[in-house]
Amino acid sequence: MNCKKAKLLLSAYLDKELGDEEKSQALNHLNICPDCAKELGYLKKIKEILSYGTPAAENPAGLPFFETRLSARIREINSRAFSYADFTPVARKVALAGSFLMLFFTGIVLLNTYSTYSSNNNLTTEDYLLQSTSGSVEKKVFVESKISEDDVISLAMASDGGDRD
Amino acid sequence: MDQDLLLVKAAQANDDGAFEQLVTRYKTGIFKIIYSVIGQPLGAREADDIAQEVFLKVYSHIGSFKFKSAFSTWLYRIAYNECISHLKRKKDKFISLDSILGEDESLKLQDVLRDKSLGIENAEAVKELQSLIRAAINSLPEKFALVLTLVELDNMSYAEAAQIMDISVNKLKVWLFRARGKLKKILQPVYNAYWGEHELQKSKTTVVSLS
Repeated sequence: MNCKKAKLLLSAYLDKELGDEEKSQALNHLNICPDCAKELGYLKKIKEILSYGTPAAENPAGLPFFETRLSARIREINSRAFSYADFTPVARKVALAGSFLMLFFTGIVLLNTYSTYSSNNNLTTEDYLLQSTSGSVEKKVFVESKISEDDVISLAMASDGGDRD
Repeated sequence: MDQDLLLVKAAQANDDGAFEQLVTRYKTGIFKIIYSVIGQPLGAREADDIAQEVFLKVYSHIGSFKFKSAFSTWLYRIAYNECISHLKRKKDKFISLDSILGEDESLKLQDVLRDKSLGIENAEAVKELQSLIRAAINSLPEKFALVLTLVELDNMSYAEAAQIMDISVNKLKVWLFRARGKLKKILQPVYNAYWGEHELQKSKTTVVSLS
């Protein structure tokens, strides 16, 4: 057995985890290889230092009432925590009511816009002139071409004259 | 193991009684890990606080446990990581041994290494060295640190440690071998001192045997 393989076995030998056959192989190598024997000595020393006065047995179950204190902390965290289970039904109702209201108001707005649009379509030029500014009058006139530009000028002049009176 | 499976499933379905049974079942193991990883000086109150944090984390995340590994593996990993976080919070980081070991400390180290039975006269020095080695272990990559903690510090058998780490015993042997190699590199001054001491003893023996 070479040192490389022996060193792999030494680790398990140190932990008493070798089977009989591997153990005798390791021992045979240790008898003829002082370097590997020293290596094992070093590993043993580290293990001894680490296991010196191990405090693990001091309080293996913790302080008294470990579970009770833990349960109290869990309850406290749960009471502060945001609960989806509680939140979901309320959120669903609010969302439903909100959607309904939004649809209702959208309907009202659309209805209003449609009624304004349809009433504008039925306007005569005369009504339109009475309701609108001079700028929009010109637009209406040119778009619809129901009256001539001269008519518009004369209407405008007549309107200006009326204002002066 | 089946019992674990049932308890975890019940805990995932918000059965607090099942969770409490898991706590009772595993708290001793968790305390052992805490004492092993953190080492001295660790008061009972501090260890208790860490254990509580571990189980609170388990409670919060138990829903995300997918049964891909044993529950104990998952639990011990959480415990190990909590210990490492605790050490980091305490800023108890590992610093190179060369920078720590002054002349006095080196002499103490020699005394410890020469002391075959680690007697009470060197108790203080052994404990100091023990803390350094623990810190060195904790500075290793997680899998190597955990395998050394379970085997060296918790004195678990290879089969127990392999089960916790969810690996085969053969793989554990290889990891342990590599972990010890890495630890040796970090503890080079200790290793050198050990070899120096060994050589010194050998030359003394040779002189004695010659005379």
